[in-house]
Amino acid sequence: MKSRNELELMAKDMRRDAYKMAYNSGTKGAHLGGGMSVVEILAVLYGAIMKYDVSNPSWEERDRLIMSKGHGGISLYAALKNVGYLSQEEIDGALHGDSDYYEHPRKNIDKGIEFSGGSLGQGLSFAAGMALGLSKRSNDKSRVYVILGDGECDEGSVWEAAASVIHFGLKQITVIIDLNGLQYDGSTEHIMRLGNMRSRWESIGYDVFEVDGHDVLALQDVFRKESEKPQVVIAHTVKGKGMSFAENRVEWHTAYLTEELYRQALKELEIC
Amino acid sequence: MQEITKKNSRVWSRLGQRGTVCGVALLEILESMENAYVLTADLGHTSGLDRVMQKFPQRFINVGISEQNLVGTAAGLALDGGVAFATTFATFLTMRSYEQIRHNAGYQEANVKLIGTSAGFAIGMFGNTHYSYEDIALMRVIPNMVVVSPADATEAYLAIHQAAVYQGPVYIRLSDGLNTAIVHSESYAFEIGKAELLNQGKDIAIIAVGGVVHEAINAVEKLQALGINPTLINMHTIKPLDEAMLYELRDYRALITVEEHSIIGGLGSAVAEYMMGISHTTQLFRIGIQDKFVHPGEQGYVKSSNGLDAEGIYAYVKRVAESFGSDA
Amino acid sequence: MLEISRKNARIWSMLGMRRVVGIMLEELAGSDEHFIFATADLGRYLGAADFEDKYPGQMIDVGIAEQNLIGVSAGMQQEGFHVFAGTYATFVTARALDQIRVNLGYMNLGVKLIGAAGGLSDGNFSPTHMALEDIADIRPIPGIAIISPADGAEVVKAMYALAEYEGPAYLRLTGRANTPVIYTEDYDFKIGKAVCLKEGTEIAFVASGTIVATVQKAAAELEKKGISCKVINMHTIKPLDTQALDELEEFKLLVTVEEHMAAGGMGSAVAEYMGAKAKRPVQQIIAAGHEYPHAGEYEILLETCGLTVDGIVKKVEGRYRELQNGR
Repeated sequence: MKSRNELELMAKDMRRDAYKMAYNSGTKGAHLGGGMSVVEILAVLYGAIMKYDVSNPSWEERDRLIMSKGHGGISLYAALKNVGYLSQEEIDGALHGDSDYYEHPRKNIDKGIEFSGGSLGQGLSFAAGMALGLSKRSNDKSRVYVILGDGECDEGSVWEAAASVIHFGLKQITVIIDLNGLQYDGSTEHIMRLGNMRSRWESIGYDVFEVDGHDVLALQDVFRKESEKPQVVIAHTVKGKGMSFAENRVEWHTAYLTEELYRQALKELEIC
Repeated sequence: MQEITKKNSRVWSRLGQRGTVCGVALLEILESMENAYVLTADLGHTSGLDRVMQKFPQRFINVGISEQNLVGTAAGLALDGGVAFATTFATFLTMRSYEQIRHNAGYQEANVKLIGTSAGFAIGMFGNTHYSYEDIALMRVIPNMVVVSPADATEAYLAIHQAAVYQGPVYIRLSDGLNTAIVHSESYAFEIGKAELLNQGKDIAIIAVGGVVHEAINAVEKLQALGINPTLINMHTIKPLDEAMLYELRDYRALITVEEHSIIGGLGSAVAEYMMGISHTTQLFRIGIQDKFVHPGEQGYVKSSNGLDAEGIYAYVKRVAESFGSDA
Repeated sequence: MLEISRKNARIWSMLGMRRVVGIMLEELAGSDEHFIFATADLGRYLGAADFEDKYPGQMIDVGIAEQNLIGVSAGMQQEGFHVFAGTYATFVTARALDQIRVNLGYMNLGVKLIGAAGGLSDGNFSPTHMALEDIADIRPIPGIAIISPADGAEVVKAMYALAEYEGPAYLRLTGRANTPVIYTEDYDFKIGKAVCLKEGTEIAFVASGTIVATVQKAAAELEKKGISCKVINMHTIKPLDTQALDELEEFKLLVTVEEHMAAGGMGSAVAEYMGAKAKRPVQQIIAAGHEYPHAGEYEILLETCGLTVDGIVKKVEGRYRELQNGR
């Protein structure tokens, strides 16, 4: 168990790196909105929950994380740096020039990236395949965490995969829905209402938990819960979390930080 | 429809192909055609459809992040007598919903106009998942589909207006970006299926499409300074291909196609399929993305690292010309 | 190893390619505990009705969900399994194309796709079940091999080869039951290496799929008319055997024949390569055309599309005579 302080420090460190990457990327902008909503989720997973070995990235018993919403790339890179997969130089170079770390992460198991994200609605199927593989190898040590956006759940392919996870009894899967309530064009309610997210997953057969996706201790608790079924964690989050000027604002899905805003973001980070 | 003037072409070039199509032309089409609809998959703002949304909320449909549903819904509207313009990123439009396009547009001939944005690698650091360099190959093989890739914003403006009144499915491939180069600044006869001759040279013809046409124009200027004068053609319509124009080139030494697309299946292949049937000597070369996922980066970087900028085209054509020796 | 013999060839011909796949799935599963057969509700169709009973735990059926089929297969492949994922050619390629691009192409996971009813064989179900764009769809995605065997024996050879092949691949099945027989004894099959079935000097035929047998007959007819024909079985469409094509420079006419749209397929791949040569034959692309044919029985569709012995002979002889007259 990690303390609130430890996990919040990690999240803070990740935000600092994420801001830096976004700022370095210049005026083309980065996915700050959906990047910031997922920071605590990743901090808790990498900081307190998941098993992995940076010196042995393909360790059989590691837990796998599938970033289906590839739009959270900057926060994933920040988490991977925090735990030692990526170097500060790689973070400084990310998102511009000829870096290998662009907006949507490309699979690179040596660097802790299990899946190439960016084309939405594909990660849960992939995770189901991995979990099937684990089961067939009788590996009952590893879990597979899949992070989906709430907007991403518009894609029909998500629901093909959702059914198969239950059908195949893949208990080692935890689906995390980063429910920040916004997608590119507006609020998810306004753009495409998906019905009651909780009952939708429950009706297929998942154990569903809801949690404040920025409360690190609550996240830590929920990820430690044991179930006889595959889990869905609906994490209620704030798009653009941490930057007062970006929170809950649709235009910050992809946007760029001016020097002034970059400084302000860093300042707000130090105050909290 | 507005006139093609220097001023308009300047304004449109600033908006780019996507901005001109979504922010200007579609608005005009909705105004003049009561049965026109515009659909998107959560990319209304990013495509520049804000004015469309505000002015025509009844005929603007956002299906969320569900491209398959986008095409299905557009087809439903079209088969019910509408003209449906569906737009999202080119790669998700043509790949995620490929079967829906095949089924609805190809097989059922729904009068849909599919507008693929950020074709090629316009979207820079987003990386390969968002790049689209298979879309021409994919759309070209679907029966009944017309495939157009404009050279600049003005041509995009003309293309979408013609597509609006054309009966049948059309795929319009937009090479976007803001402040784009101008190829056309005065009125000219744009017609779907009719290629445009930009320079009459000899022996070697460059056949370009999309946003790289202006790179080819710059390359030709540099080549002329060396005394090499290739013919330059803007093949804005890849399907139906302007075979009459290609027929005129049957005795050329070489045809070199240039496209922000894979060298497999795109314009280069369409030209090869035709020319191989009538010529056994004209050499056919293809400049494009080699058969690989490119290293991502800004559009300019990816262009130059794949030989698709003026410099790369210039060097390639020069090499071909030199290989022919002094008799060329 | 299954033996390529006259007797087996006859049995496989009777069964048709789909059910030969069923036999091979069992063959491969039996020798590799990591072998997985994945399908989207078409196990029976692929001759694998008993597979699950015989090899429990080695079959995954995701139901009618082709996109999920690709994702699940890729996830298993990443976890060290060897996945052959089979369903209808048109559904696997068209419905799940983005998934194929990302999982097999971009992530380069070596899943082997099996597309049943490539071409026109199930055209009685209407164009929805015809696979006439599949080669064009897969070809531009970097890194995916495309194989279209000519007969049942070649399905066997190809599946053995694919089991050893690291990268992703698409195996395209054509024909119905009672497919023609090309091979009655063992031969050298290599992915990417075409097989010359007959030498000749004037017209070179390059074909793939069950149509190869039709082409052989058409070539024999043309020989009777005094035209010497070479016949190449281009079973691998990607990577293309460019060496075999290099040998065709001196021919008068190059004819590609395939059960696919006339655009983007094997003929297009050949045109792309041959086009760069300063000297080469004129190419005639013989394919299913540019439109969906009306639904119908396989044989009638082949007839409609001119993919019969007579159809091919007529077209090719016509073009050959034109060329002789300098056109």
